[in-house]
Amino acid sequence: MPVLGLVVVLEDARAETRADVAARLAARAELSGLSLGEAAAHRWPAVLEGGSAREIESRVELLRTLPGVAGVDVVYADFEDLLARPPAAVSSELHGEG
Amino acid sequence: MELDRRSFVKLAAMAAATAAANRAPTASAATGPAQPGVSWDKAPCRFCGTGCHVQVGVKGGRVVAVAGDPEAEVNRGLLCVKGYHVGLALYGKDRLTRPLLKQGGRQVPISWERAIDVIADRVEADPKGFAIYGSGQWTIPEGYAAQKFMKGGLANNHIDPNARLCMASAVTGFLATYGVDEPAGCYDDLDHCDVLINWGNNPAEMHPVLFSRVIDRRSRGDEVLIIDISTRRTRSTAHAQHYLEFRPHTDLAIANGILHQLIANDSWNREFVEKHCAFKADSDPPGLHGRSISFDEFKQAVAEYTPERVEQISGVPARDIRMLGDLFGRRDVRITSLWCMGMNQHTRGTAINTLVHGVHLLSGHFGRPGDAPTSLTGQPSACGTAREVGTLAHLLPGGRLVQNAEHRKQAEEIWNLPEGRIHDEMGYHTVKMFEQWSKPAAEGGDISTLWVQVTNPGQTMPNRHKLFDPGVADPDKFLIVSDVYPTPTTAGADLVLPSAMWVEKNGIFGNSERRTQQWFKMVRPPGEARDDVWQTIAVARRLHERGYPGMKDKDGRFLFHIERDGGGPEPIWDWRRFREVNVDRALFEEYRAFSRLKHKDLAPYDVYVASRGLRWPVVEQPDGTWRETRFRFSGFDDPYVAEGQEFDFYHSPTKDGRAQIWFRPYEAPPESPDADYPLWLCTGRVLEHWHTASMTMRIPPLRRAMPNAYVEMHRDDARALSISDGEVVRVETRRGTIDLPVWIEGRGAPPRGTVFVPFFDESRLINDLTLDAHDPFSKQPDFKKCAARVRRIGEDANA
Repeated sequence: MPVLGLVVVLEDARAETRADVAARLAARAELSGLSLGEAAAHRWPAVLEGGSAREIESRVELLRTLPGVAGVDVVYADFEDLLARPPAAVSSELHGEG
Repeated sequence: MELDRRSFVKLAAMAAATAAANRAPTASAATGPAQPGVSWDKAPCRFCGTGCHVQVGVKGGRVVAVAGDPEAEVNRGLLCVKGYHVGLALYGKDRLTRPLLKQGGRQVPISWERAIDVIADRVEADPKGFAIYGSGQWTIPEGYAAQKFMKGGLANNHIDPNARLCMASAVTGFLATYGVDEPAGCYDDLDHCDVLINWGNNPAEMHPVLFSRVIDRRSRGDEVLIIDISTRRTRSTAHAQHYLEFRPHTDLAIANGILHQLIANDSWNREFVEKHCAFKADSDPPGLHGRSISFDEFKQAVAEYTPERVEQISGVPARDIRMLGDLFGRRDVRITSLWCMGMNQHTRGTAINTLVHGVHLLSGHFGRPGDAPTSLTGQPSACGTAREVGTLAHLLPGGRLVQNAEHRKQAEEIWNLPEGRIHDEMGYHTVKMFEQWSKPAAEGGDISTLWVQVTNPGQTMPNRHKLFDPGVADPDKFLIVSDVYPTPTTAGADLVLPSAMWVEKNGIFGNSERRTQQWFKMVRPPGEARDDVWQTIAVARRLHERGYPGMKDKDGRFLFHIERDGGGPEPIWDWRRFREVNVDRALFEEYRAFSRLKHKDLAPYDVYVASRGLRWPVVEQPDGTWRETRFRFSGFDDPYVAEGQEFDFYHSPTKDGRAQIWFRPYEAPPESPDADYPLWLCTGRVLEHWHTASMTMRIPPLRRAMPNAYVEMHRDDARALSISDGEVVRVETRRGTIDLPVWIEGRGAPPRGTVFVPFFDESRLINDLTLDAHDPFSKQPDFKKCAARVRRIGEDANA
């Protein structure tokens, strides 16, 4: 999934928690494709992009397990890139063989 | 150009995320995220019974993006891992695109004309032996058309949905308690409860968007106590303050223990009970509505379920039974119970359902926001189609019964049929239907043709070998399957019909909280795939053309007559015309007449077009608007409760406005572990796959995340058998054998003596091993427990 819109749900709404999570995010090179929006209390909107669906999946999973994060909700997914590839590549990706 | 598009996509993604984070609809909420060339429209998700709404982005005739719908009350913009992949479910490379007829052992392409003729031939040859097996994934118009075709057209009640396998015990539980089906409360209860009890339920994986509502409240600082009563640890357990692990089948003892505690502590809600409840126990012979008993008889019956006795039966410590009793005895907390398959797939399913309702009624934890006993469903329209349209073998639409002469007459009037057309005997329930189909005619198997729509019984039937394998049947039996992808069911079919799915067709679903949800078709189905409702109408029309009398109403008009603008019949059996006419609107408006018969009033079709679903009863207001109902039977919200009354159970089985509090004793399960088969086997679902995974296995991220089934084992059980993590072992029951890799301390953690296997994997059919014993009232099989053994491959079972 090339681009995902996410809501990162923090364990609480404290500024310290937000700062701790931000620091952990900055320290993880794997999460460099993550752009954060303006947090609304304990909910933090974000956009995650990656080169391949597999990359994106592992990044979401990493986010979920980060200390201070209670959960990650996906709210938007664009998969046009996946469908727009040549037929052979599409079928390989769509069937998990890639 | 690509950079521009990507920038737009990122902006749209951030806008959707910001709207969801703020829980506030934005300007784009109604129209979808701004993205060049992409048009957006609303639809409920195709998968589970939660009923999340998604915004579907279409470009160039294909679904290219999906966003959570911030205007939808159910999910408030959020989606789960299956929901945000739902658009890709349309684009697996092996979609069925042409009708296929088995000839000489091979399925070969044929025309739709020929396929419709073949079905009409089978009906004419044996109309009484024709059966339809549908599902809670039927849209409301699809189920309604199939129901009318069978019960109104063929005068044949052999129609049942796969919902029989997942929520039939919830239905009988509601009927026996309130006299009417479906929950009184709604998802709003999750926003107000102080205590959430999961009874054999794993919402963190099966209904994640609902569960995240509660977790989100905790992150906001709300104190919500979560209690997990289960036979194995799951992802939901990780969020619970209390985990009460019980021996399989003993949940009845736990519920009786709470009832006992409420009485022993004198903390039951005397005022609520005396005004609004009555007591029941099993009758002899057993019947769904049992016999009335007094409070003293009830008190005496539950007296043996002391905390110590319950601990002995269930393994749950007496102190935890006291904790539950104390919680229910408090007036200052609001308690919501949630359950799903764990309580329903149970040979005592009706009994445990009624007991949990009884715990809430006796304690008075009922009818205020946050105080509710609520069952969830696994399919998107198990409630809307299976339960409300009444596609079960004993029902007519609107909660009418085929065995009730007055109810049949009502249906005949709405359908404009000659009096006496509808047959007065119940059709076959699911297990019986498959028994009668798989049994040779010479041995009494009187179902000769079975038409399966929108489901996959070749993977889901319990004791599958016995009930489904085509080899069991005689060669004159005939299986028709309408589906979107090849499955174990289509593999055994004599005729395969390619179906349109989700936003390739118009549709209406009804979710777990009585919410009716509408959507329009947005893209064309592939190849020659066609809507299931068209398939049913086309067969009906072919029979009509051949002079089959049941396909006419009493005025001689076609059973599915729709008046064309300007007069005359609209030829909706013609595929090209069908696509131009909104057949859903016509069928739904006809069906609405049934909905008022049991206070499940539906609004006109166009009201749903303009909404993200409404919870019935939906009643027109003096100003012409339509008002939904969140809390049934509660005077402050339900329009059918008389002015000034706090509660009224207006479909009471005792016809006195009272709900029934049942005593149902614990009884031993039909099969338990023994020396030969020393383990419990439990089956179920996983987060990444939806039921038999015929759609989710075509979505690469989901397939990669969970590529195959496994057997979860406790480390000590594995060690005792010298089995290591990941090793492929043989799992056996008295009915079958399967080889699976072992997962120790994996996603779920069963206790010693229990193994768990998910049923999504079509290459490893766990239902060859499960038990077809079923609940006596709901006829729902028990997929959650039977006796099994595990051994290393190559080792003798008797060694």
